[in-house]
Amino acid sequence: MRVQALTAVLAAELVLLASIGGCGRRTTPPATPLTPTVFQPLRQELNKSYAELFRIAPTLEYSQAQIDSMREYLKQAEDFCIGRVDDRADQYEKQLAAYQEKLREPATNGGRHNLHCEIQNTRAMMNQAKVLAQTAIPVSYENRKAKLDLIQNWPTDLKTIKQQIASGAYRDRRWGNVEDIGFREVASGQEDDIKTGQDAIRDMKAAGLMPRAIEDPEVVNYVRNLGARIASRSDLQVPLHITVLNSQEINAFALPGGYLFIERGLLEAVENESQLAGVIAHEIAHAAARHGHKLMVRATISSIIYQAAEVAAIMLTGGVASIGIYYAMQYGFFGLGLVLNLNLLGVSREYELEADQLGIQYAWNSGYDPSGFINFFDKMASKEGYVRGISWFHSHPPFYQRMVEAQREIMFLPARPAITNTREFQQMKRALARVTAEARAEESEPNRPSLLSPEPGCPPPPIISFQDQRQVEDVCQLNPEQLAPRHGRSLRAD
Amino acid sequence: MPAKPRATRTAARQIIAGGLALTFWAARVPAVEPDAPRNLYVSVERDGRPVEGLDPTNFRLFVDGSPAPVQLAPQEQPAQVVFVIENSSSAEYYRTEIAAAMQEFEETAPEGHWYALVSFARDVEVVADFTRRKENIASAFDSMGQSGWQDISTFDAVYNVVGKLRRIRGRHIVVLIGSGLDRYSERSLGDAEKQLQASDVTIYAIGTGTLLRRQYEPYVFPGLRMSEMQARGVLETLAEDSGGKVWFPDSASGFADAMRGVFTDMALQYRLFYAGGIPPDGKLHKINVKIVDFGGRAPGYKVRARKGWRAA
Repeated sequence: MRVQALTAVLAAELVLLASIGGCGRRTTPPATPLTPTVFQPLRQELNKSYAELFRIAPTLEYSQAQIDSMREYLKQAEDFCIGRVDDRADQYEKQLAAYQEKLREPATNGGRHNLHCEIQNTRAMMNQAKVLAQTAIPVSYENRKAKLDLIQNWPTDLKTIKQQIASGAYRDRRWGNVEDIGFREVASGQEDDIKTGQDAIRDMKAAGLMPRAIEDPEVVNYVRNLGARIASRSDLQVPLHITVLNSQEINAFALPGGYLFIERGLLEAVENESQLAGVIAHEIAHAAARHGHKLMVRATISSIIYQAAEVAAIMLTGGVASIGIYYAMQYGFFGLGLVLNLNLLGVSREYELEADQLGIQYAWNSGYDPSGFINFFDKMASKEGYVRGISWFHSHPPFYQRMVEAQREIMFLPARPAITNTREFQQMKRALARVTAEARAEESEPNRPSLLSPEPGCPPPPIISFQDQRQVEDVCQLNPEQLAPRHGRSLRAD
Repeated sequence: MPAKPRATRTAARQIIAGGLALTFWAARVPAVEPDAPRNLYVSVERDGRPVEGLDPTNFRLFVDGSPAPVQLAPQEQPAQVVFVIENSSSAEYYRTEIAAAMQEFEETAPEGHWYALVSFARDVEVVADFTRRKENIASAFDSMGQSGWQDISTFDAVYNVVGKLRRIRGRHIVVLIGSGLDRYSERSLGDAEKQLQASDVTIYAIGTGTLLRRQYEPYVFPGLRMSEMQARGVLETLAEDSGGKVWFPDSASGFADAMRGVFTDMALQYRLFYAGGIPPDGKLHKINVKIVDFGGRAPGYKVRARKGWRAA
């Protein structure tokens, strides 16, 4: 009963806060700048996939003024959206301070427990709101703006690409010698990275940052075989080691020396083998080009781990927690990648574009549809699942440039029959469903005790989320139901 | 003779022994509170062998020297078992032996309990939160990294884990595997003991000191040998304080035997139940349990129970 009451209070707070305007930002939704007969169709175009827009953009007829108006509208909408969620984060912060003030008052054991639950869940909601405002919403709007750029600029870019193909100039691009994949030298000294990668893995494990590995042979063998196939048709010159991590985060990352980590959430999110091949090929490209080595020196690993440890030490009471799991708890489903991925892996605009190009080449050279990478990118950037894969996008190059460069590379590659899906992929999905079901069944068991919850016995912290199949910016719309708390990971302990 | 076949401990008798008080107990938070009813797990041995089949009339309980009425109750199910394993840089030398213990756990420990894994060197980390799947714990142990630190925080590990368990309802077991050395803790042994005395946690300790001593014996100077002896004493103290048991195996098979011994002991423990308040005076209120037969004698039984309670 108490749990229900607490949940009801949190829900009521959310509805109340949804009615409060932002401070220092736009407090009213922007007016639509175009007539409905233009605005609605253009808005719908922005919901279409990149692949479709690449196809139809040359046929669309929007004026420069109309596109500029829509761009201004998106800018104002983003400002309004961030303002609202920022304001909610501020309100949670104030609420948190009020609860913490109450800690000074004497209370019965039960009252103290309820207060701890309030603090625990309010803190989790505040953190989620901050991530939405600072990262998720800006990137979502960037995706929209990139599609607007595509509608505006792709027809011209397409003409240029066709001219380059016709003249043969495309062969002069960097890494244009795709017939030499595996024999050219993308980066020398790959073997020197092996020890760096091993050290990084050891440090991450020692710091409790590495999620547990999946051992299901059907899942693991499939992913390893797929990785091996792509690696053998890439420029990677060191053995590939793939570990599948049992984490719901939609992420994959490569450590120097050919150590590749695929998280369970990514395997759940991909729709076909070409999408997964695209992601794995991208990560193999990072290793082959030694991007990690160039930006990730040992000092960087240590400093990041110690920084994370320091945060955990400040935030946690009781002292027992894995840092990685701490972030997963505090930030919902953002997990390891939010704190580590990009800092550790040294993602930069230049390297990311290079990994996109090489990854597309490796997927193509392995017989896969190279547009799988773009399709997955689009799915992630457009739908709810994107938020769970947020680290994959954070501080990457501008979306439009990335998508156009990727599409250009695909068009430059010689056409050949391509695999989109396989029976083995479907078998892996079935095996993965069992693994996921087992993980979720235990996570959601109501009486599961926990060493990680700062205050056991509280209702699960609400996840500020949005409904399935809706856009991330829907969190900013007026309907408060879209911000209704949804129970996520169970943190109950009794 | 009080010893009877275990089969005679029927469920019906246990329910009667537990009585209505159990219903009341189930609704309570079991952390030690001044006015909370008490759960007391005891092990009884005679000639080095566990004694099964005792009934409530065989137990005499004394709290601070005064007799207290006692009942028998079924063990709480499922238990929450936390493996607290040292992974300092020196623990690398006996990783194989600890792995043998964990393999024994995976193969023979009962299903249904909640299991968790915590590691400690300089810092204390939850490697795997509670799970019913033993293979998850085994896998988490396999992937557990070795700390680069020589620093060991045994007291902090015990203090923190017991502190966490105090806030969770149920039967709590800690299997502490380590040297017992402590070079870095913020908390003292006294703090860890007080935390333990304010909880219902039982500690089973598997000491790695025998292996450690063998590794370093040719080189050790007297001071270091003294530290190792003190570390051994730490593990004995924590186990004795909580009514648990300690092993100091010197081989992989010995570690496996010790792990099997933990779960055997857990399964054969008696759960005594009595209503007794603990004055919130910060003092340790001593527990003494004796076994008697119908004539009121105590013919050679060895009882292992926690030393006492201290109000939080």
